[in-house]
Amino acid sequence: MKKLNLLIIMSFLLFHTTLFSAEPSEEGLKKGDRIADFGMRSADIEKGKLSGLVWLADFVGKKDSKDPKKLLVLNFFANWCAPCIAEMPVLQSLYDKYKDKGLMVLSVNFRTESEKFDATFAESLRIIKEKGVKYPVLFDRFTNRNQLLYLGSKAVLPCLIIIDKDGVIIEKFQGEQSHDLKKIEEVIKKGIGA
Amino acid sequence: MKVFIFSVCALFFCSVLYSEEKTPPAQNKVQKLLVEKVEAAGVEAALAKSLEEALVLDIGKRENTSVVTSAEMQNVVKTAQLKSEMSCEGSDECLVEVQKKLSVETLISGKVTKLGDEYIFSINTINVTTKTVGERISIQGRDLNDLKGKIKEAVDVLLGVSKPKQMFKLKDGEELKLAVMPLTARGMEQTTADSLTSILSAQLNQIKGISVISQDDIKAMLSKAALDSSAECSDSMECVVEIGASLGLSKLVTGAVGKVKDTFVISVQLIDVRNADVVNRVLESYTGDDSELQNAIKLAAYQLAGIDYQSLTGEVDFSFNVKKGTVHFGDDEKKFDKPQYSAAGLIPGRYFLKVRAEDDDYLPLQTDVYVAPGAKNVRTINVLSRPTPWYKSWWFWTLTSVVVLGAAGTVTAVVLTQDTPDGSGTVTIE
Repeated sequence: MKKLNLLIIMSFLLFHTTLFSAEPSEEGLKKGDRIADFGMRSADIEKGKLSGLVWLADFVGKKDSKDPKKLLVLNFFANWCAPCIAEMPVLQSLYDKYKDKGLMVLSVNFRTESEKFDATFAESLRIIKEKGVKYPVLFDRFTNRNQLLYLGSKAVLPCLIIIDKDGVIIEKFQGEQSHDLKKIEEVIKKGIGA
Repeated sequence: MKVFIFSVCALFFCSVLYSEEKTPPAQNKVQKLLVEKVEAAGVEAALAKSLEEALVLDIGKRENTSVVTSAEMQNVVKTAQLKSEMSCEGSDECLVEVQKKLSVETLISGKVTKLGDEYIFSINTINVTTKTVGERISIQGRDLNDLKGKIKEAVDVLLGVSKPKQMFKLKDGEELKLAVMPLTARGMEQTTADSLTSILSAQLNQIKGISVISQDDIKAMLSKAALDSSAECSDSMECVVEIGASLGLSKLVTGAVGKVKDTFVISVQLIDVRNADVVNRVLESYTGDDSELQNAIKLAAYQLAGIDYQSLTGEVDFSFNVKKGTVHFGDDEKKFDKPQYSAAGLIPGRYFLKVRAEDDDYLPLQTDVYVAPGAKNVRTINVLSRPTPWYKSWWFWTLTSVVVLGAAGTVTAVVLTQDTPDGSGTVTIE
């Protein structure tokens, strides 16, 4: 058993030298960066529970995407972020207006470590229903690593990222910038060629 | 002209005759197999019996095979009192003699055990003539019916009718980023399972084209703080897939390691995260020392990635605690007069090791050992000494001596302390 332990330690050391980490930078992914694909479960608003997995690469960044789109708007929100909730109806109207022209909107929930998932999910469902959101809203039960990867370690909200069909970030609106809905629509129109 | 035609006809006739002699009519050789009693390791004996019956039924239905059951063999042994007739020393030798007498060419032995909620049924063939282990296969199932449904395919592989189905194969130039979820421990300490998870991760990471995500990342995700949802995440495919998706992985590895009695089982699966589907499954089970787990898991890594490891030969270097004897390793059998056995150029896999000391004070040792791809298995094999019979033990002889001496002392004391006649009385002299 001693021999096994020694080999285990050696294997562990060897393994750790070849690791790669995904520590978020302070500002997160920025304009010009390629997306880091992930999958999260969407909310089944009618049934009030989690549904199947939705991947970014289902829409953009892959030649054989399941449902290819010209543009993907990736939005991040938190239940306690009033401006985030305020822009939900605006995003819904943009989605309704351009979805047939190749626009997809995905909203990702962000929660801090102190927020319990079940309570957060229940509250998010209430907000989504209230604001009449129909585009997919994604949740991660286990971690917020992807949120931090995109938002950055400071996690400034609201945040709206526009991604082209090749999976490249063409605009990132964060904080006050995300209130400039006129500019956002301009980028969308240009992106889908409307 | 007539002579010429006659000669040509004669030549043709002879050639036809000759060719007929050269190619005798095809004969379907019937292979006689003996299905041994399926061993139940930590599971109900009835389940093992049912699997044995299913094996017999499946083999019996096949053309060119004839099956002898363990019950039939035992009957032969009883009625003919073969053991004394054949004057065989140990049960192994006797078994082989019985099989020879029954003209059995191949022995099929099986063992069924349980790992978590799943049953693992391992079957292997033994060539009676060469006494070597042939094909081995393990099947996994939720219940008896699930296992029974997989027996046909397993027997096909065992008898060489078909090759084992390879579900996943890492293509040349393919890049695969995956995570190895912590292996679940069954009947052993979680720390051992964690160590094996690290070995599996390291081994997979060494395979060209595969990069394995940090264990720390996964552990952080599986921490209690993260698992605040009412949904527990243990073995559930849904949870595992969700974690993989969150890590942006297309594939991940899950599994369990367990110990039931003296049998170790490793069960690992490669899961396609996007399709929530098992794309490859590896089962390794063996009877032997826990130190072989590391070699077994290394082998499992290659099998899981669908890498051809046959050319990555390995070595063994065993030392024994007995000076002289016979060692039987794989197909190799040799006597040794130095307590060491080495072999190189071995195809990776599981091997059967048997050591018989020349000194009768030692028990014969039988164990499974692994040769991992490109690795050297260095071990000290401890051959157990035969327990001393009670009549040879020191305490028996001490006790016997005490009893004998005590008895002798008592008799002497009695004799000495007896009243001697004082000389009075009547003596009649005739």
